[in-house]
Amino acid sequence: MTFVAGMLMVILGGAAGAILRYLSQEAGTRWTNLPGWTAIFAVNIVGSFFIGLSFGWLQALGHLDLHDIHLSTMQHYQDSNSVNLGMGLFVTGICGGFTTFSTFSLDNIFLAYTKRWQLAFNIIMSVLFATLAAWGGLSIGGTFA
Amino acid sequence: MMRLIAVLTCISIGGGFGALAREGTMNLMHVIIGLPVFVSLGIVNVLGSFLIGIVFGFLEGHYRRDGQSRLKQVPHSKHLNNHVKWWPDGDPTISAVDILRTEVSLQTASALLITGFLGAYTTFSAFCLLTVQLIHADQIIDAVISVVGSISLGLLVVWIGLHLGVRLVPKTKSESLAS
Repeated sequence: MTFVAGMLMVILGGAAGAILRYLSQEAGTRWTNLPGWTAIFAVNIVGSFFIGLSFGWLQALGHLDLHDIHLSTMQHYQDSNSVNLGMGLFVTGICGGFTTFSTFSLDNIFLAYTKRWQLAFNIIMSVLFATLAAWGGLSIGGTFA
Repeated sequence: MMRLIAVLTCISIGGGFGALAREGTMNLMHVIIGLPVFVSLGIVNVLGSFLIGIVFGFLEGHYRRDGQSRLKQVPHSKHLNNHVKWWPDGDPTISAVDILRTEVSLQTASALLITGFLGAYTTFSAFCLLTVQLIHADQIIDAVISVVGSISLGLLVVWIGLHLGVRLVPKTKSESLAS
């Protein structure tokens, strides 16, 4: 039963994350004149900040090491507690579903044919800023609990 | 409004299953097979990029008939020129009803498969969090392999996927080719 609850958190979070990503993309094309890939660029950086924040907060809540590589996998939901369910909902579900690697790759292949400078910018700045955002989020989140 | 609700429903169904499939793949790769976490996540992201190439190439080639496809920027979409009669500039002879029907199909399928399932299956945030953790654990080589490997392989497989995707588009121009 606790396993099912964990999986439900992942499904709900993934659905919410994907909808938020779609709405961000729509908002980007409707209200700005920026090229299409910038929406995913922003989504990935914002999502990386929030994954750091929620992961850090949940690890601190469970008195776990902030830097422990604990990608919530199904076996964690066997021993259900609020930390594991929170990992499923926020980390795997919402943040994992909000950010995307496949659309990032797809945008990059179009940039590779047409706009090489934007390709370099997208790749380098996505990795740099998103990693810094995750690190910042983790540092802040770790102080919450 | 009804279209928006339908699209959001498709995205949430696709997104829910995408996240669950990611969890399942991670579990299979990391817990059952025993691969390191960064390799497991790399496989998820690269596999998702490959599939988005196939699905995007197929859907754009098959359903987009307004001549506005982004796929036109990719040289190997020229394969469609003698293959699909509305490629690349759209087909003025198609009835308005058919245009609308294909638009709805394209919108629904891409909401379900591209924005929903594959968008949620792959993840950038966990990838970056993992990079932070690998750097903190002094596993710098793993972090570099993860970042450089995922991004370069992602680009390569999305290119291969687009190649395959446009080749899956059913032929509609066979008569004109024969003449």
